[in-house]
Amino acid sequence: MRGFVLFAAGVVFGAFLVQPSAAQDKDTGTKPAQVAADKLVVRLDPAFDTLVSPDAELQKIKGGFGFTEGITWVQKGNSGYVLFSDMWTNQIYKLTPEGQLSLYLDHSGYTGFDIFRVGMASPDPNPGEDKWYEFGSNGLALDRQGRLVIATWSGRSIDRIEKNGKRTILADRYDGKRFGGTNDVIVKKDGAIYFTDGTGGMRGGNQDPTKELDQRGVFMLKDGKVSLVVKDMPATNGLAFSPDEKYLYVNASQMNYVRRYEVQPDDTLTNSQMFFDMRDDKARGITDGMKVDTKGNVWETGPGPAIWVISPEGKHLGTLRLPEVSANLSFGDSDSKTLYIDGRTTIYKLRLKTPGIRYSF
Amino acid sequence: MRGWILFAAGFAFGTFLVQPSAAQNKDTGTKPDQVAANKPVVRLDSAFDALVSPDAELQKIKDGFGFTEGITWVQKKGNSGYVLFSDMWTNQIYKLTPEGQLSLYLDHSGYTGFDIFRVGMASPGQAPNERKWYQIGSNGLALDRQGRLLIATNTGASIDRIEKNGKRTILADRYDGNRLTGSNDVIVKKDGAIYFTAGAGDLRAVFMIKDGKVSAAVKDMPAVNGLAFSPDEKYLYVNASVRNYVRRYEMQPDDTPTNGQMFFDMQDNKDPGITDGMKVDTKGNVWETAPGPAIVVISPEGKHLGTIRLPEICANLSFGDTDSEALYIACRTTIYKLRVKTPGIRYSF
Repeated sequence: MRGFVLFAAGVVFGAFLVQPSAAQDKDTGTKPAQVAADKLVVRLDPAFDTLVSPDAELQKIKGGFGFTEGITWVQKGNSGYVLFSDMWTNQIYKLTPEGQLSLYLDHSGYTGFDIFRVGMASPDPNPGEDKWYEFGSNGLALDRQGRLVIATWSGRSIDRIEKNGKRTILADRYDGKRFGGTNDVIVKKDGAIYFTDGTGGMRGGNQDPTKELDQRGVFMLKDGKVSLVVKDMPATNGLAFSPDEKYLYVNASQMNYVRRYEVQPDDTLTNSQMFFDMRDDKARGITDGMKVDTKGNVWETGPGPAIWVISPEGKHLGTLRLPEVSANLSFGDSDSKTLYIDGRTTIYKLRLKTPGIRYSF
Repeated sequence: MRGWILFAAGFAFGTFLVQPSAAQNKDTGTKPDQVAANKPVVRLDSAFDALVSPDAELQKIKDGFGFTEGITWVQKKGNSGYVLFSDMWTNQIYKLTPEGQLSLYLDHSGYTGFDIFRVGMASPGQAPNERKWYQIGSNGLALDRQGRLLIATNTGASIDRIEKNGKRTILADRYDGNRLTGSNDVIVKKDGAIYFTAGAGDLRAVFMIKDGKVSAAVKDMPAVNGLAFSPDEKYLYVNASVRNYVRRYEMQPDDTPTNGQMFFDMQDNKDPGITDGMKVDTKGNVWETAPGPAIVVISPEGKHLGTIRLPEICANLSFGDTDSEALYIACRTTIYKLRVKTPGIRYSF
């Protein structure tokens, strides 16, 4: 089924535009002035001061995107860059801390030709605009060899970009049934890959005629085999490990809570517990992406829109208020003390006082 | 402004799907049974029998597309060939053989920026409750005398050429200091002059590229679309798009058109379909997309000889096959073929 022949694609991208016009930037809904005027850093516990300065500033690196996701820091020598998906354009971009943008991977999510048939609808943030469709890739992760692992969303698979540039489909089925929308992916130090899947990659969602798999949850790919490791959550999204990899955190997507599981020696999970519950907060934003710092604090996208910082004991230490809904975040820079944030149309960064867990060396 | 750096795109298309699933095919609105039940060929003048058999059948070659445009036959050595066509919803040009084998010819054929969600004219979705989609891809295509593909990039707002080495050249993207808006169709005269329809500022016009210079050649039409020459290139036909009429211009020795006249008027026909694309056969008859949806065939004198009824709105058509006696039709979601009894003008050798 998959065998489309490409024979004239290499010529195309010479005329690819570097950036949208200034007029387009105006429409992104990002209001940097507002960020400065309202307080960005909201401390709820004195411990928060050791994590982020009360005067920290949100810096806009680049705007003009559609729906950014899966932001991931890649360390190169003394510098580095972030990779992230744009789910509305089906591409993965490379962006330096200085704002230099280039295309990293085209057709990063759905690789079929009929892109107008796939992907979940998401509203345009600008009033009066039509909704657009999320058909590109979603969550990204680096494995221990530095290879990019992609939750392809409408591609309904977990793919890996090999060192030679080749793209390998690592998993596209569970129990013989196709996934419906791979959302986030992480890699354990021992090489086991965990990912979430739902129905959002398909135009019709749960009712889509091409749906095969009814089970949503967290899946594990180990030794070439896919198993279901979390099945007690009706919706799943972002994933993260504690620093010692003894716990796996799982986001409940629009249900707005986080569950925590103990990781057993065989990499399966047990002892499911509610870790943090934000269901009562009706502000915009959901438990979408998260990352963990080296002290074990969980940095979690949530209602506000904001990033909520939660201690390993489940205490809400503080909040970073954002100008737009954020889908994901990554620790970055060589000292891992910067937060890079996917704010839908805009990539932001914010300096911290504590390093996040590093995935790129 | 244009300088996007590509460094990892070449390997992306390994998993490109050959065709949509059967379930998806159901939704295209194409009803082959209907086509068979009602004969497509409607004769209005006895001369039409010499052009197409009354029993000619519309053959569906491949469906599942979004909004196809710019279909163009490419002749290869021997008896083979294929069509190229744009899908304006997916921003790609495909290659399709008469046997239905599909492959990608050119990615990002229209708009080459990264923010595709900001651009393109809205067109209604295929299903009743479907959201509108946007025409971000290329539109009309043509081959020049050297066999190079010319592209009206539509949302790319330019006329581009694919060189023999695969390189893409922008031939025109401005007129009189204004960026073009939405280049629609393109044709090439035997002497190398290129004509295309587009907007520039407030002007809607047929533009000419000659000796590297862009000039406005037809300025008396409020909307423009498909273009075609008579076999002797003495006349240029220009479609009025949604206005549903065709004008004819005399070509002067310096390649500028003059003496614009109404050639054929369908403004009273309110059926779906517009004067979008057209081609001319070797006898000078004009094969014209029209309300119906249909292709209407008009003699060089402007007489309506007959109609080919279509199951969906058609944006463009091309004569094809080695004898040039087949009509290849770009009908939104589906590419059809119909054998005819008279050859069309050939552009590919």
